[in-house]
Amino acid sequence: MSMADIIRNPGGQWVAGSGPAGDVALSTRVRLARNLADVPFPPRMDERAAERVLDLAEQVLPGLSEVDGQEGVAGRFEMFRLRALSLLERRVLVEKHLISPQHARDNRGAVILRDDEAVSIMINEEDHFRIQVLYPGLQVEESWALADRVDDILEGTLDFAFCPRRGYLTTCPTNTGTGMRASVMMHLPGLAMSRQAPRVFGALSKVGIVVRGLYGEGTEAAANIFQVSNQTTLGSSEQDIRANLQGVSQQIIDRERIARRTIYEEAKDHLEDRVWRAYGVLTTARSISSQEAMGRLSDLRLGVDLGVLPQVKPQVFNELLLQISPGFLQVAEGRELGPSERDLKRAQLIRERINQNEEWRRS
Amino acid sequence: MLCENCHQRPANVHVTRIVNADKTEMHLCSECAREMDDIGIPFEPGVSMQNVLAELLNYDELLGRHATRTRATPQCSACGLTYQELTRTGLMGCAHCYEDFAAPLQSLLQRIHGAKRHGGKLPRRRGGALNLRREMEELRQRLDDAISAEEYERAATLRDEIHQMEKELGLRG
Repeated sequence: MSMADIIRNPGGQWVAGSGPAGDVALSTRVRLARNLADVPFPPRMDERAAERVLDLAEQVLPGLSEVDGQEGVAGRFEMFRLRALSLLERRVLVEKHLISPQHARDNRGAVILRDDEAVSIMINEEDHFRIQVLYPGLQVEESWALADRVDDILEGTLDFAFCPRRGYLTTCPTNTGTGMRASVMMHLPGLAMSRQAPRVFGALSKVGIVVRGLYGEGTEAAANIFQVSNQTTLGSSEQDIRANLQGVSQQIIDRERIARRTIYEEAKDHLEDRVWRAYGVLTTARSISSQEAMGRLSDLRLGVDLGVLPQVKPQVFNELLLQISPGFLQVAEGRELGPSERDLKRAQLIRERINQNEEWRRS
Repeated sequence: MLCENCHQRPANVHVTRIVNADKTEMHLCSECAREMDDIGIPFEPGVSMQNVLAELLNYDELLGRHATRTRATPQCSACGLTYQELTRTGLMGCAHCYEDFAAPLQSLLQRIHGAKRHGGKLPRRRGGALNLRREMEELRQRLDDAISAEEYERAATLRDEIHQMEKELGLRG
């Protein structure tokens, strides 16, 4: 498994669109933040300390292969130092949600990846170690189980900064305690279209849940995709946090499904028009911006989920979301592209991908 | 002026961003501006969780909640992080900072999480003794409850369990 393979391959289970409640929940992510007890935290670390952390990370690498892959086969883990990766490669890793934008900008970091991309461990980001598990659909317990296991394996060799009173000691006090940020990525065109989103999200903060856009803190909700995660990490147990997130997510999913059905029943013509326009633009446009593409793809996916576009497969949405991102586009093309070139390529990619699905047309 | 991101090239892209009456300005060179735009991640100096934390810490200080304590511990004894830097960045320097800055941290954690004490997972390897202690606390609580409910038999059983654990803990030290 080379970096070249990883950035070229759309991969990742969430892209395939499988997973529980896959019509609304795109993916679930559990992230655990851990620091070493006897090394200054990353913002305060010097070059030598950073190297030391990287060396320790290399040492835990063999032990990780004990973690079973999905089919019960041991997954293959590999470590990549960011210094050795080009800006483009890092960009794709961000687009695949394997590293954070912040991490991509730092040369002292590294990332450990499992070959199926379900596990990624960022090294020397804001904390020394950030374990991340990414599963398709709504799978809070399953994601936690794997992250918990990876955490135990790491802790078998490494001394984590921990005290009984404050829990796991993280760089930012907002993560102290469990160090756990669990989130579910959801596609909510129904709630957005019926303008219920602000009301639903507003109520969530009262139950310890926070809502953000596609790429996390400080981003907007492109393609009607929202990230729902726990607000606090100290005081509650991991189990309580997870149960809360699961419960809230299920409620949002239920409401979204009701909103979609209601819109379809009460504004069928308008909805179908919107969906077919999206289909029309996506299958024929010669140039399309990232922003417009995301909006249209959201409409397309809604059409698929409501049965208006039976000829298009749902995972086309997930795949294209990734493939139309700037970094991924350029890697696929094999060279850097300017903004207008990207718009052309994006349109071409989308046309080809959707038309690929067109079995009914050929018959 | 120089680009706010790379601090190398001159800034020739000036972005003014107005969100809900909050106005922020960014000054970038064309390369960094393009890069930020490509990644799709807005570069927002001045609007970050760190600044919010710093504000919270300063607010407590202003109210004199722990003024005397912080004068006593202006710096972490292990990594040298100063209290001033902590309030500026909102980030801890090392594991030891949690002890040296315990006082201001206490109220900060309460405000962020609505709690001061960890209630979750203990590290498996190092957690042995900690696990026992936590169990003992729970047993003691149940003992109190049993006594209040006048269920003396149950209380007696619990008391014996606690004694057993105390012995184990004594051995483990």
